[in-house]
Amino acid sequence: MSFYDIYNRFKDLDFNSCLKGAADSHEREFFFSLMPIAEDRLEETARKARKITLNNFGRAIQLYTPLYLSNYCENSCIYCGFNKDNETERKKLSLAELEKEAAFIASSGLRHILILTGESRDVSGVSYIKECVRILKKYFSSIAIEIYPLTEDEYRELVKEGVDGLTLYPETYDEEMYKQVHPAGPKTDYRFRMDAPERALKAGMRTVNIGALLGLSDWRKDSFLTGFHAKYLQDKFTDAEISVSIPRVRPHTGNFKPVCKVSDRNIVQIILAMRVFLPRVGITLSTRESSALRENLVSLGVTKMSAGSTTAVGGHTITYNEKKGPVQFEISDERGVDEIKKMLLKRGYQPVLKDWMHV
Amino acid sequence: VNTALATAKDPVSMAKAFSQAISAGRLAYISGTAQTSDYANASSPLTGFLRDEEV
Repeated sequence: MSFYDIYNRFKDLDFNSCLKGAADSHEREFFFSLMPIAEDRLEETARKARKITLNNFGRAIQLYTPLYLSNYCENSCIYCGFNKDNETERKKLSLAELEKEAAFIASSGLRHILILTGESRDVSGVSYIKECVRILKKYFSSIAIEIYPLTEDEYRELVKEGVDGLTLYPETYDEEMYKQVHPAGPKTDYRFRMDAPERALKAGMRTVNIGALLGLSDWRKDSFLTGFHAKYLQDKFTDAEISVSIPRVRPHTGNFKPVCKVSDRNIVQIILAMRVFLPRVGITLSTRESSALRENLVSLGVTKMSAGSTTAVGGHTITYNEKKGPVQFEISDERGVDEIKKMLLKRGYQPVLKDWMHV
Repeated sequence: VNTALATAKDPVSMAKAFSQAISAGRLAYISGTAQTSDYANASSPLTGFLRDEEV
C-alpha cells in the first residue's frame, strides 16, 4: 500500500459538500475544520490547538536555516525561480565555498541545517551531496535535505553518511494540476515524488517534513491531503518525527500566478486544523511569511522556524557582482537568528538551536 | 424605574442615566452584539491579529 491509495479515496472531495470515505469522526472533524464555515470558529479552535501544542511540545521552537548548494535544475516548474527555462545565473558551491558558508551559519549558534539543490543529478548528484554532508557534519548536529526525490538505496547512503532529515513537498496532491505546473523534467513523475518520504523513512531517515505549495491548487484539498499524508507516515513509521509545512507561493522569476488566494486567515485555519487532527505533528514555518504573521503564529501550533534565511546559492557568504544572488523565491522575514531568538524569548518561548546529535 | 428615580439623591440625573442606558442598549442591539458565552473570554487574544487583514 502507498499513500496514493488514500489519495484516490479523497481525490474528488468537495468542501462545499460532505466527506465521503472517512474512517471515523476524527477524520470528519478534520474535514470540517478546513471548510469555509469553520472560519467562524477560529478563536475557539485556536485555544484548543494551543493547549494541545503546549501539552506535546511545551514552549520550545526549533530553529534552522536553509543552505542552498546548487540551483542547476532539469525541471520546468512554472512557479520556481530555478526553472531550467529561466535565464538565471547558475551556481554550484565548491567544497571550499560550502565550508565558508557552513562556518558562517554555525557561528550564529544554529546546529540544524537544511541543504537544498535544484534537480540535476549531473551537477549535484548523490556523491556531491555526500561530500557536502561530510563537511557539514563538522559544524551541525542535524542535517536535513530538501533535494530531488531519491531511491530508497540512495536515501540509505545519505542516512549512513549522516543525514537525518528529509523535507520534500509533493507541491500539490491534485494529480491533474501537478502535470500542468510540472511540464518537463524528472519531476513530472508524480508517484515517484509522492512516495519519496516513505522511501526515506524505510531507509532510516529520522525526520520527514512534507507540505503542499499553497496556491498551486485548491488549498483546502491540498491541506486535507497533507494532513492525511502526515498521518499515514506517522502511523506507519511510529519512531519517526513527522512534520508539515504550509508554504505559500512567493514572488519568483517567472509568470506563474497562484490559482487561488491563500489569506493569512486561511493559513491560521490550516495550522489549527493540522494541530487538532495530529497532536504530535511538527509544524514548520519558513521565512516565506512576514515577520508580523510569523510572530502571531508562534502561539498557534508552530514548532519549527527558519531564521537568517536566504534562497540564493551560498547566499550567506557569497555576493554576485556586489548584489545578492538569484533566488529561488523572495523571502519575507529577513531577520537573523539573534532577532528571532529575542522575539521568541519576549513571547515566552524557548528558541532551540540544537535538538539532536549523533553519538 | 419609578423607585430607582424616587430614591436617588439626584432623580433628574438618575432619569437621564436610565434614558442613556436605554439608548445605549438599543444602539448595541442595532450594531449586532457578539456571540454570548457561559464564561468570560478575553476578546480574541490568539486570532485577534486577523482583524487587521485586508479582505
